[in-house]
Amino acid sequence: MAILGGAMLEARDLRKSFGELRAVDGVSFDIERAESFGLLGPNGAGKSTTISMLVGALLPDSGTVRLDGDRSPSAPATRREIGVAPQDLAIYEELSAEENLAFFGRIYGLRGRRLAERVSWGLELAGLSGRRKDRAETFSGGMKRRLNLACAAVHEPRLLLCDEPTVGVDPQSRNHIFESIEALRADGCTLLYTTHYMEEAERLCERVAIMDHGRILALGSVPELIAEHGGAATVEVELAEAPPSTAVLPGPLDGLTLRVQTEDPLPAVESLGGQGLAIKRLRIDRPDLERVFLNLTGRSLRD
Amino acid sequence: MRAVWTLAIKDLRLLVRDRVSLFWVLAFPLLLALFFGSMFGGDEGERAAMKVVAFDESGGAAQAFLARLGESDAIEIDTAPSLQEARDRVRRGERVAFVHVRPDFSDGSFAMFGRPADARAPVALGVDPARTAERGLLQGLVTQALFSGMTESLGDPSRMLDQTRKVRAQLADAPELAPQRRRSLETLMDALDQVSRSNDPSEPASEDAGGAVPMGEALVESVPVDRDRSGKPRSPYEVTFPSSIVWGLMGCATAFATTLVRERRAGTMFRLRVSPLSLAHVLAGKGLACMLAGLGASAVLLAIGVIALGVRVVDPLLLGLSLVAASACFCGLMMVMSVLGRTESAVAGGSWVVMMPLAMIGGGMIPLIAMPPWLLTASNASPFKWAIFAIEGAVWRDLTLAEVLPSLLVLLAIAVGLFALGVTILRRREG
Repeated sequence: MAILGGAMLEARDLRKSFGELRAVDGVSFDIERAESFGLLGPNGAGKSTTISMLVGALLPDSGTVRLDGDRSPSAPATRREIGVAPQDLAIYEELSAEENLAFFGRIYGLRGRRLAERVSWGLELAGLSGRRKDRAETFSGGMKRRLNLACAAVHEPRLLLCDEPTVGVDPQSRNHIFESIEALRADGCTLLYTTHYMEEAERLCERVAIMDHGRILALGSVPELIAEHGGAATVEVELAEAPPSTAVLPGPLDGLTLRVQTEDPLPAVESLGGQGLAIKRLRIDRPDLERVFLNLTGRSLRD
Repeated sequence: MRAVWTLAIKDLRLLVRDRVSLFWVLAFPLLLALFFGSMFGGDEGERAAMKVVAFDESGGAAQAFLARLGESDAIEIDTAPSLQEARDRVRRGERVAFVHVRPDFSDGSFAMFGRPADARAPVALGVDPARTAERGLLQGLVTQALFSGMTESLGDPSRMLDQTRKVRAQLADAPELAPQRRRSLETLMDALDQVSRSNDPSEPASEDAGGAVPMGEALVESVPVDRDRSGKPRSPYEVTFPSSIVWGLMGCATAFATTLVRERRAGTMFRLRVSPLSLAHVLAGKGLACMLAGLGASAVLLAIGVIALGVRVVDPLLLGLSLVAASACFCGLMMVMSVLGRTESAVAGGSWVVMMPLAMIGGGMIPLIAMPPWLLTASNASPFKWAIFAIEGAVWRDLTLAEVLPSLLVLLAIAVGLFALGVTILRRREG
C-alpha cells in the first residue's frame, strides 16, 4: 500500500437524506494518520449514517470520501485496511468467540498461523480467552460488545471506526473497551470514534467534531473546543457566615452561596481567601464538552 | 472462491446449530417418508419376519425341512409354483429370498455327504441383493434346518444305520470319487455306525463311540439374483423417499432464505458489506451452503432409506446428477424466497406460501405414480415434479440419462433463472 502524506480519511461535504429527513447535511472533516478522532453528538445526530458513508455501505447523495490519498472506500483493497465496529452488535450468536474471530479474520484474507495469532490476540483484547469455545449467545451484553470490537480489529486494520462501542455496557466492560482502544491507538491505528458520552470523547479523542441534526457545529481539540465554546468556569463558594459587606464580592450572593464566573478559577479562589471570608465549602465547575454542546445547541447531549 | 467457501462453511455451521431448521431439513422429510411409506402398504410384517418363498423339486422329500424352516420366528415361508416365479418374487422385492430345493434333496440324509465334489448343492438360496444384511442369517437358518434333520436321524439308530448303508452303496457306485475323499467319507460312516450302535439298546456299548460330523460341505448354495429393471417400485418407500429428499431440499431452501434476513437483522450483513467481499461473494456463499446442505440432507435420507428400508439405487451416477440439479433448483428458489419479505417471519411465511402449492401439485404429497392424468399435467409447472422424477429415475424407474436429461435441464434452467431474479432484487435492495 502506498504511504502518502496527508490525511488518512477525507470527508467532503457529505449529504444524505431519507425521504424528508436530512440525516447528514454537508459534513466535512479530515482524520490524520494515527489520529484519534471523535464524532460527538446525541442520538439521531447523523453519526452512524456518516460512518456508513465513510465505509461505502451507504452511497451519499453528494460529497466524497477518500482514504489514504485518493482511494475509494468501496474498493476491496481499501476495505481490507478498514475495521468497523457497528453500533448494533454484528456477531454470530450461534458461533463461539473463537469461531466469530476466525470467520471475520478469514474474510479479510487471514490464514494459517497468522489467523491463529490474530484470533488469540482478539480473544485477549476482548478478555474472552477463558471463554473462547463458548457461543456468543451465552455472553453478557458487555462481553458481546467487546467481541464486536475485537472482530472489527482482528485483521489489524489501519483505520478503525467504532460506532458507539460502549452503548448499554456495564462499567467494567466499558473500561475494558477503553483500554482496548487505547492499546490499538498505541499500535498506531487511526481511530474514528462516535459517542454521545462527552467523557469518552475527552478520554479517547485528540480532536472532536460536535454533530447535531446532521451538521458539524464545531471541530477541534478538546481544549480548543472548550476554550472557544465552553465559556467561563464557575467557582461556587458556600460561606460559613454572612460577609460584613457584599460590595467587594466578585459575584452575586444567594443566601450564603457565592457564585463567581471566571476564566481562571484558581486566582479567583485565592482572592476570596485574601478577603478574610470564612469558606465552608468550595466547588469549581470547569467547562467541558457537555457545556460546549449546551452552549452550541441550547440542549443537553442526553436530551 | 476461498471467501465463498468460508461463507458457506459458516452458514452450514449455523444450520447445524439451529435445531428448528434441522428438523425441517432432516426430521420432517424422514417422518413424511416413513408415514406415507407405511400408509401405502409398509412392510411391518416383513420387518418382523423375513418373507421367503420356496420352490420344492424334491418330490415331497423336503416337506419336513421346509416345515422346520418355517418354524423359525425369523422366517415366514410360502411356496411358488415354479423356480422362475420364486426368483421373480424376490426380484420384485415381494420376498427377501427364495429357497430352491433341488431334486436330489434327501432330508436328514447323510447321503448328501457322498455327492461328488462338483455336484450341485441340494438347496439353493437366492437373496435380494438389497438385503445383504439378512443373507448370513438366512443361510444360517437354512443350514440349521438341514442339520436338524440329520440330528433327528442321529437319535434314531435304525434310521441312521439305514442312511449309512445307502451312503456306502452310493460310494461304491461312484468310481470317480477321489480316494482321499472316499476314505474320509468311509471313516465318517464308520463313526456314524458306531454312534448308532452305541445308541441302540440292543447293541453293546463301546468306549470310543462317537465322532465329529464334518460341517465343511456346502449344502446350501448361494445363487445370484439379478437387479430388477422392471421400472416399478418394489416398496412404497422407494416412492416416498425421493419425495422426502425433495422436502429436505425445500427445508434447506427455506432455512437459508431466512438466514439472509437474519444476517441483516443481526447486523452481520453490514459487517460483510463493509468487508472486502462483494455482494456476489456473499450470495454465492449462501448458494453454495444451501446446495451443500441439500446434498448432505439427501445423502442422509437416502442412506436411511437404503440401509433401513431396502430402498434401491438403480443408477448411483444418475442419482448424483439428479441431486445436484435438484439442489441447484432449490437454491434458486431460496434466493427468490429470501427477498419475499424484510423479516424472518415474513420470509418464512412467504416461503411456505410459495412452496406448499408447488409441493402439492408436484408430487410432494401425492406420489407422481398415483396422480390422475390431469394432475400429472399440472405438475409440470412445479420444480418438485422434475426433481422427484429425476431422483426416481435413478432410484427405481431405471431411466437412462437421455430420459432424465429433460428434467435435469428444466431444474438447472429454473435454478439459473430464479437465482438471477433473486440476486437482482437483492442487489437493488442492498444498494
